[in-house]
Amino acid sequence: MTATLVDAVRAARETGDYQTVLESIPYMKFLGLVVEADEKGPICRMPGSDHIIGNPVLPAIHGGVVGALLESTAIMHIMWSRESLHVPKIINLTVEYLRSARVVDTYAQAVITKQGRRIANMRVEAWQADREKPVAAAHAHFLLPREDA
Amino acid sequence: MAGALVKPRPEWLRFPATTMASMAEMEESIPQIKALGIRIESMGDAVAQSRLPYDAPLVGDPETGVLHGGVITTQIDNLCAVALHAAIGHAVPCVTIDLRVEYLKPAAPGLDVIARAECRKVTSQLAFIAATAWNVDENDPIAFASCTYMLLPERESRATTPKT
Repeated sequence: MTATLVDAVRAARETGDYQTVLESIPYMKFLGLVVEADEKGPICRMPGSDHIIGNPVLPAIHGGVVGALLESTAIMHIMWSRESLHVPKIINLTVEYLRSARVVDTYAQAVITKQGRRIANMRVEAWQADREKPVAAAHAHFLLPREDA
Repeated sequence: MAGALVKPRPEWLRFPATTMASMAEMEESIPQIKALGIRIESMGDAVAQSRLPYDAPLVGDPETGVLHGGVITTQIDNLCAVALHAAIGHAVPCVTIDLRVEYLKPAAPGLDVIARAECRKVTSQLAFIAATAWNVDENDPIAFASCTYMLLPERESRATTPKT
């Protein structure tokens, strides 16, 4: 077996490069996500590609895929913020769809709004060309793995 | 077979009637739905059921093999549109404005996800849909969801070109 997720997270904490962590999570890789970070945390970029389309007429990215980008970004943020060496378990996710997401690069960044010992409350926003015009926003709760506490 | 929930409005009539064949064709035209391998299994007056085959590239936790929540989000979002089309009897263009998913427990590694959505209310502009997902037993669900769609009858059809 290749490097485990835990090894990848530990290495990323040394180097600051979380792409290896992301690529060890199959569905994030399937979506083609690329992770960069600024001082506030990871920014996940989802390149426009044919297989993420949900409306071929407009065309637009599938709403569920936008939800997956928001969830993935929250997960990467929790692992980046040193709250977990494992993928935190999602409890719930509420997505507000604000604008049609065109099939171009889509970015997302999360903030932890409340950090408990077992639960993290997250806000996530996704945007395309203009960060001031988000295409979607979400709030979500995650269960933090207890062995990290 | 469909459309018992609400009387079709005049502006809906130019869109193709909702049938298993027209819904299968719509699913076939959506790249992400094809990529996930989602298929509509059944449809009723305001309900629809779909199946997502378990597949390794869709895993969200490499340590457990549990599917990524986003995959189930996509299955439910898509299925809610099918239930809406079943309820109104025509494939009127629509967009999701709000979707909430409660992940009751992790999807079982290796097993398909079955989801059922029921359209509870339709107005001239909005539709409210509830959904449940499970692996083996419908009474042991893995997710609950509620979804709000906006109807866009002024838009061009996604399934076929509207007849003039």
